[in-house]
Formats: sequence, C-alpha cells, structure tokens
Amino acid sequence: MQKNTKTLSISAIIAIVAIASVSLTTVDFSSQQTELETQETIVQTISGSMPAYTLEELASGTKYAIIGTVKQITPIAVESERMQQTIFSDVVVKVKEDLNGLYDQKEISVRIQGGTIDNLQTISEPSAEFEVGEKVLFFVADKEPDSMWGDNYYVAGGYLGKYKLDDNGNAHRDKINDSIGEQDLVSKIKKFRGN
Amino acid sequence: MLNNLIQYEDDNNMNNKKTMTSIIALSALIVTFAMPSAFASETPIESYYWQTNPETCYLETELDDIDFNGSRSTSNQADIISELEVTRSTYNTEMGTIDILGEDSGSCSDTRRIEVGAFDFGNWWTYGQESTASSGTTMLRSFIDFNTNWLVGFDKDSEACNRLDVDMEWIYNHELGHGIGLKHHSHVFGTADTLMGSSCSSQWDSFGADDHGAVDQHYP
Ligand SMILES: [Zn+2]
Repeated sequence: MQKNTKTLSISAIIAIVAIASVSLTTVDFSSQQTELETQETIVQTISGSMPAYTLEELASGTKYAIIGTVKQITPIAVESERMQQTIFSDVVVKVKEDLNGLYDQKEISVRIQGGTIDNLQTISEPSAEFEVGEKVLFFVADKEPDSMWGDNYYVAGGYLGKYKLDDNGNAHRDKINDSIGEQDLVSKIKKFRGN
Repeated sequence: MLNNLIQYEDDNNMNNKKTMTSIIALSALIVTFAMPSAFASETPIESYYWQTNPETCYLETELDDIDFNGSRSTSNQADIISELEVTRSTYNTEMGTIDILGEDSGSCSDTRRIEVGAFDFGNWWTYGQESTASSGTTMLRSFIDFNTNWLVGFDKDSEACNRLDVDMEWIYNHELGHGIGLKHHSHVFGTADTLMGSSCSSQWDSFGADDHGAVDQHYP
C-alpha cells in the first residue's frame, strides 16, 4: 500500500515537472530546482567498484564471521560531506555463532549503506541487503571511526560479504547469484581461519 | 584477470518496479512534449539516466576538493588530477555541445555539478564510488570519490584493474560516465563494446561503440 502511495506521489510530481517543462519558454533550471527541493523525493544512487574479495580473504582478514537472524533494521541519516545527508541502516542481528569465536554478545549491530527516511532515499549497489527474520552469515569489518562508517561495525565487502541461509541448508549471495552448501561454507571459513 | 574488480549495478534493483514503470511512462510523456524531436525518435533513452534539457547547463568538475585523510593515503594527488584531465578532455570531445568544465566559472547553478575527490570509505569497501542525487529523471549532482584506503593501489597508467593495481584513467572513464548520467549498460546499441559495463576490465580504457551511441543521445 505504501508503494502505491509513493507511486502516486512520485507520478504526480513528475507530471507537474512535465507540465512546467512544456509551459516554460525558457527553462530556469535553478529556480525550478529550488521549488522541487521542498517536496520532491531525492534519490541517491551509489555505484561502487568492489575489489573481488575472495572467501579466503574475507574469512581470514575480518574481525567476526557471524551466523544469526536479523532482528531489526533502522534507517539512519548521516551527515555527509558529499551529499549533505546519506541514509544508512543499522541492522541488529541475533547472534547464533561467531565462526571466529571472538564475539560474545547476544546481538550485534552492523551498519549498511542505503535506506529511506522521509523524502530521502539512498540506494547503494555495493551494499549487502538484509530483511528482518532472515537467517544470515556475514563478515564483520572492525570499527574504523575515521571512515564513513563512523564508530560502527560494517559488513566487510558489502554484497560479497553476506550470505542468506535458507531452510534447505544452502547459502546464497543475492547480487552475484551464487550458492554454496551452508556446511561447506562454514567448514571453508573455519579452515581459512585456521580453526 | 580482467574482472578482478567487480562493480555491481543491478538494473532491476530500482526497488520499486511500479514506481519505475510510471516514471518511465511519464518520462516518455515528457520526452514527447518537452524535448526536441531528435530525442523522442531515438531508441530507449529511458534505459539510462538522462537529464532534461541537458544543454541548459554546464557540468562542472571541482578539482580542488580532494581530501586525503585516509589511513593509507599517498601523495599522488597530482596523478589523480592529471588523469582526470585526460578523461575530461575525452568526454568533451565526445559530448558535442556540452563541455565539462575544469573549474567553476560561475556559469552553472549549484546543480548539474560533478565533484571529484577522495574519501575514507573504509578498508573493506569499494576502491571508489560514484554517487548520483536525482529527482525523478533529473540528475542533480554527482560525486566521484576514490577510497583513501585504496589509493596506494592506484597507478596512473598501469592498464590494469586488480586489487594492487588500478588504472586511474579507466576508473575515471567509467565513473564520469555515471557522472554525466549514464547507467551501466551493454548490448543496448548492439554491441558489448562499452566502458559502462558493470565490471572493471580493459573495456574501460576508452569509449566504445555503445558509448558513442549513448552519449550522442544525451549530448548531441
Ligand atoms: Zn559503474
């Protein structure tokens, strides 16, 4: 239902732009823009070039390798030198196991790029995506407070560093459409970890 | 070896297909009524980001906004700028009536601007990213930033694309394509000869047939 509302509002705005474009003999882009900014949904699309991190690199080089269930996803607006504001989301995961054997809390919060707050939407192509209730395995990069992640853990390698675990014992990565048996994946990670 | 770096863009990931369908339908309407007939008669420009009335404003590239604060940053700022100049001049040759300016001449509004710099995106992230802000089908602004955590791997003319060695010009060729409004594409004009393919490869070294077709549509 929310989608339909959004569709309607975006359509209406675009229709207004279309009519304005037709009626203006000289398009003054800057003033047109000022009017739009007060009401228009701004979409930030982030595309990035991700190094082809291997499973071995991710398994041996990251702080934690968490298996768990996504409990909550909260979008958060972060001040950005580049875009004024960018939307990230904090993903809280109920931890079943850290394959590195180091993480000892019941939950972990990792930040991902992307999300929507009011009329600002950030779509991040390099980012991993999560759903509440989803069973997941993901690699956690340590906190790098000077980076854009601030004082937060983040998913190492974005979409390369997160697997969805299904009920048939398989692990999938969405954006590259690969699949591996969960047990196979876990034993590879443990082997690369030297466990 | 050519695909040692992956750049991802899922063309179906515009998260709301219904919204996109109506945007595309209305875009067609705008094209029909508001744009010169040359645009309307062309093949699928809705496959790309495109800007309304692209000839009304210049794109500007800020070269003085590079921030080298990352933990592994090196002193190759001069290389970054000189490589960008090469790419900018390539695009200006390709873009007909539009020039990407090298400095702010004051002739452009605050929108339609491409800013280039560097930013700390973290150790386990992309070597760089391009961020486009758009409103409907109108691009407002673009930022191209190298990851200061990866700058150590950027070389001026290495003709390579792997974790330890990335050719800056290749990256600029591709990212500036995003900056002027192009999405990832291939085969649209009947060939995969493009620097807008989603994975870094030697295709990114220069304009391909696909890119000529795409750029001609936006910037005749
Ligand atoms: Zn790209």
